[in-house]
Amino acid sequence: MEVQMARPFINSVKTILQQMTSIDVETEGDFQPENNDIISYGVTSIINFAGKVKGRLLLDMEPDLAVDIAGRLTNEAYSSPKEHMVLAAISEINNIIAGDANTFLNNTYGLGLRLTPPVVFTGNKAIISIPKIPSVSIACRTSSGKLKVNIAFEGGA
Amino acid sequence: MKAEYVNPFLEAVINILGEFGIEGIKRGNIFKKDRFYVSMDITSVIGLIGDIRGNISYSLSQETAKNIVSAMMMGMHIEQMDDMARSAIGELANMITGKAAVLLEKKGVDVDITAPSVIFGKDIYMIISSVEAICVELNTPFGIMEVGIGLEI
Repeated sequence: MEVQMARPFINSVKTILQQMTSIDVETEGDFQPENNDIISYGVTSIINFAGKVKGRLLLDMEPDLAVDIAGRLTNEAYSSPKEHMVLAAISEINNIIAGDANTFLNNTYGLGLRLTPPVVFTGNKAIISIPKIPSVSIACRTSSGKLKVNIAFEGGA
Repeated sequence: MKAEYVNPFLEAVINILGEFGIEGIKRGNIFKKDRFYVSMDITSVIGLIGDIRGNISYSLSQETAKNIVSAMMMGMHIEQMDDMARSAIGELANMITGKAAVLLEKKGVDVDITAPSVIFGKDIYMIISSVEAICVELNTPFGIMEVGIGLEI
């Protein structure tokens, strides 16, 4: 798939996290095809979008990063990624990031993309697959932990 | 509040499983949750966009999944939940949600469905919508399927 369709998402990840939480996201390398199932670092949020094309943004992060993001967004301290507020905060930040990237894609390419609500989950060694749809991933790190940004497009993007 | 939107999904499960010869599905417990705990091994999630926005989740144990995939594959023995079996579960979710979309369209509600994501893991805490989701246990001959319906209307 076209990596240039994926770039707005990593740009939005960096911008939104910096603006809303002051967390700096550094990328390691560039987008790579993700052929395998994704083994979660701990906390995953998925948001789908549809318009002229359909796709999915998946953000996957280590538990400490999720807890840190949630803490900075709400000015509270959390101890576990299983807490409702942590999951809700990650869900919301994914929503904002996907919305920001979609706005860029809609303005640039006229794709008319709309979002589903985010899904967020944390579990014990969760594996996520999106059968038959190619995706690309970029590995990132922050001072609080690792983050993977995975973007899939279906239908010839 | 949402009963008219919930029923198409439950009818669709019964209808699609029926196409694979799986009959006798009964509704079990229904509960409302904002964050729910999934004790099952496999969950498939599909999003909806259009007149209503939301996510639907289908959760099963490995054993139930293997038996259902076996029925989908004309009785082929399924040893483990490999790529092919997980893909089949994703496809099942796709078919059920697609059928529900057709039923909703007949009520004048147009929705588009997204590709499935299949989550394989234990002890999952999950949120599928910003409002409370309705979780329905369906008893199938192969075990329970939990259907989570999170719709923002």
